[in-house]
Amino acid sequence: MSWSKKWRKYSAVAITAAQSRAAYWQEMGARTFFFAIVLFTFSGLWGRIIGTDGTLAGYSRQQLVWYLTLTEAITLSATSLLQEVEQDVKTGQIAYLLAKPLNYLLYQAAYYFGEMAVTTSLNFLAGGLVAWALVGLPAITLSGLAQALILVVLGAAVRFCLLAAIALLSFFVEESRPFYWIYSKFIFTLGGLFLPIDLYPDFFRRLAALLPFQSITYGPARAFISGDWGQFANSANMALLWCLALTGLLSWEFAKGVKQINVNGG
Amino acid sequence: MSTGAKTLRWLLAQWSVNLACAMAYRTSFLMQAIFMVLNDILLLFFWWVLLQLVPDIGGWGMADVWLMYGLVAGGFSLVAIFAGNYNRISIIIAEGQLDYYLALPKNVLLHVLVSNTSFSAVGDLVFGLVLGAMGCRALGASFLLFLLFMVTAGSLLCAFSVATNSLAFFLGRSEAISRQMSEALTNFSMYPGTIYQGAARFVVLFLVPAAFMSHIPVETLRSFSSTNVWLILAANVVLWALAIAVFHAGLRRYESGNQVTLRG
Amino acid sequence: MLAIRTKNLGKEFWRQKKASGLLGSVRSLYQQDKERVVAVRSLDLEIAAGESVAFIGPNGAGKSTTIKMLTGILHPSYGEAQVLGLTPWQERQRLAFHIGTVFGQKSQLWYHLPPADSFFLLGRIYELDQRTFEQRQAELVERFELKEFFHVPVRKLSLGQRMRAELAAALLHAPQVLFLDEPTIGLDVVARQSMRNLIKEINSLGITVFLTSHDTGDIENLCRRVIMIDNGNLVIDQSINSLKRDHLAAKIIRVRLEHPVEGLPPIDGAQVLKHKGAGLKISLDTKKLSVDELYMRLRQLAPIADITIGDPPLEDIIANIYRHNQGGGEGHELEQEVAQI
Repeated sequence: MSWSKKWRKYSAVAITAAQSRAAYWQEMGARTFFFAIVLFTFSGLWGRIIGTDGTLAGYSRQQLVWYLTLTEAITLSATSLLQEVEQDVKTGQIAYLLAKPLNYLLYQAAYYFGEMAVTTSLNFLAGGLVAWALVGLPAITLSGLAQALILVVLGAAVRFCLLAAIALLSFFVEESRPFYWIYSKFIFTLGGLFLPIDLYPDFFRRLAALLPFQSITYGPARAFISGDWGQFANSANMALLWCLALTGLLSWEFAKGVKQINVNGG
Repeated sequence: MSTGAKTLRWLLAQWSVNLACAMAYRTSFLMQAIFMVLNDILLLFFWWVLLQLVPDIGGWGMADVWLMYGLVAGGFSLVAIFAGNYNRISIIIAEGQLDYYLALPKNVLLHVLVSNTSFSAVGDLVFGLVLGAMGCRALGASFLLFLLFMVTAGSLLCAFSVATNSLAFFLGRSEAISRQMSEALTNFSMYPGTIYQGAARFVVLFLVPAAFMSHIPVETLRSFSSTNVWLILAANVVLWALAIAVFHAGLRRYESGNQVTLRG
Repeated sequence: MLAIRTKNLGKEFWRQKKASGLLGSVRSLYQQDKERVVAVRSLDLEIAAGESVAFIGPNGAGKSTTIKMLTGILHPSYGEAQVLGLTPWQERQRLAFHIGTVFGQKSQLWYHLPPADSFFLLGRIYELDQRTFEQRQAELVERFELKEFFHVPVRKLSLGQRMRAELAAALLHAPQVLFLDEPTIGLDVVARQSMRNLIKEINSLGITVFLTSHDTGDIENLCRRVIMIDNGNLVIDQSINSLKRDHLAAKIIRVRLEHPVEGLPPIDGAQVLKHKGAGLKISLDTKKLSVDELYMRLRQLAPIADITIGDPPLEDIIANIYRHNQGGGEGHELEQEVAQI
């Protein structure tokens, strides 16, 4: 086959694939719209409570809106991890993937990080434009930006471990969806999705600080608006610790799950 | 038998068939109902934390938030139970499923709306009524008035969804737009009315009428004003007139199965 | 009395031209090229009460569009129509009480529920009182043999069972006109036979049957009259017998002679389709050569042991007319495309 024919064939495949993602683009547009509405509402809420110049427990309106921009950009970034792993487990496809010379979890992690990098930055770009229009650009420091970037990546790793652990539950239970739902509620409350957790009443603040959820949303967003090195060290340590602990848990769960296949397979 | 009695007999049959359908998936239905209530309760967590920090939000305290959530959750549940297709109309139009309803001797819009029921919304109904009772007690408001506003809130949500879903007659596949529009309405109606100022005030009054769904009703429950009651009822009439007009204008352009042009 | 009458009835769609390829999709977001598609063009029909009519035509000819206009589902672009004296798109609800529809591709029955539940709901939709409902239902269950699966969810029924239940459901309110759009599509031979018998029975009760089908067996068995549209235009409107006569320039003659022969010497108007020993299958063009003359020629070869003279199947006649019309009308391919969508 000539080169031009090959080129025509593969470009056709690529274009068809891109077109079949039309639903994906619509979904993306809808998510951006939702994002804009949330930011719009909260800039009104903080404007009402704080005003343009005041502060709430040390946070200005602008800071709180940008805080939300980052936490939502992370939370709304879609990943197909859950469906993929669940599918693999339920259809038994995972048995074939295990036979291949690659580590299943690492393979999923690589895919997940690729997806996350794109969707989180796109979300942040879209949300950032809205936030900019609503409350203006915050005084971002270079160190704050660098800290946030590191913490976003660490948080993404924690998120991966949690999501994969939930997805692998399909080895043992019929429906793993409810666990995901509980996870997302924890992000909403103890992850500090709308409000930095240092504004929470004492008991909840201490509880949230101990759990992994704040590493995903609160940690990076807080660093982004404050740029405080002491806080950063604290958040980074916590995230690393949880990464290690959850990786251990995940490997254990995976090993146990794989044994389950052998039993099922006879 | 009068026309009204015949219609009622039909609606009862319709809902009982919907129930039979839902019973085919009993376990997931119970699970969903419980999760939806938990979800509603967790949403209150945010307001609870916030109202520990500040005394009120432009005059709105915790009891106002209860009333607001009660109205939205209760109103939503009424629509989900009795007119469960409210947010699926655009899909039904775009996929040519309207043929089924058009071949039968009933009002098309009404028939489409009542042909589906989300029974898991029973959880929201209970949650809404409990919150409403709590809010009314705390503020000394009339629970009957709360019930009226719950119905008008549901009615506004339904009319708004009919109007936005009818865009499918003109635009083809537009369910993402319609869904986002009605989600914008419920979102706006779950924050105190006082946070919407200037242009935002215009938006919640005239574009996405959240003000009539929860903001004005909560204020009216707090301090009664008959003008407000009339205003809310008038908003219902106007929005329904608009929704029905858009739907029927669209129906003339309905293209049945040939509408689906998305092949790629 | 006329059951259906249309005058100058037409329907046009505006369809967005979708350019192919990714660039085309992107362009269509901001730039809309629309084109007019004619689905039905100025249709005049008159169908008497009690008739059974086959409404046929190739894919995309405008059959479904016509049925949808006659049942009030679609508004026409121009023209008039009356079904049982009512204008469908203006008096849709009133008309719906008196007509029944079965769309082979779209179900009236609730998928996850047994037919009994759908019947109950339809009874209420058609405002039947309890006694009439129970009586009608019992009759239909009996005649359509629904008893054994009447309380089984529709999703568990075979297609044949489901279609029988669909047909029964469409008759619950005792309609005067029955519209059937491909009622036998996908059915096996036995199920198709049983559907046909039921439809024939319905028609014999005086109910007008308006049927579209691609199955010529349906058409031949169920209908006296055939209406063909192509490209939105009325092409043929006559009885099936006269259709055969008019379009049968050819007869198929099968003959067995007393002893094997070499073959038939070439004659203008007779074409040998098959020849094996003493058996011959000949296509005869009766305009050029009479049956009598061919008979004589055959007798000259050998004494005739057996002879049958038959018509070519209806399927061939129809295919021939479709082919003949194709390329005639402009924009035909366009409509083919619409049909596929």
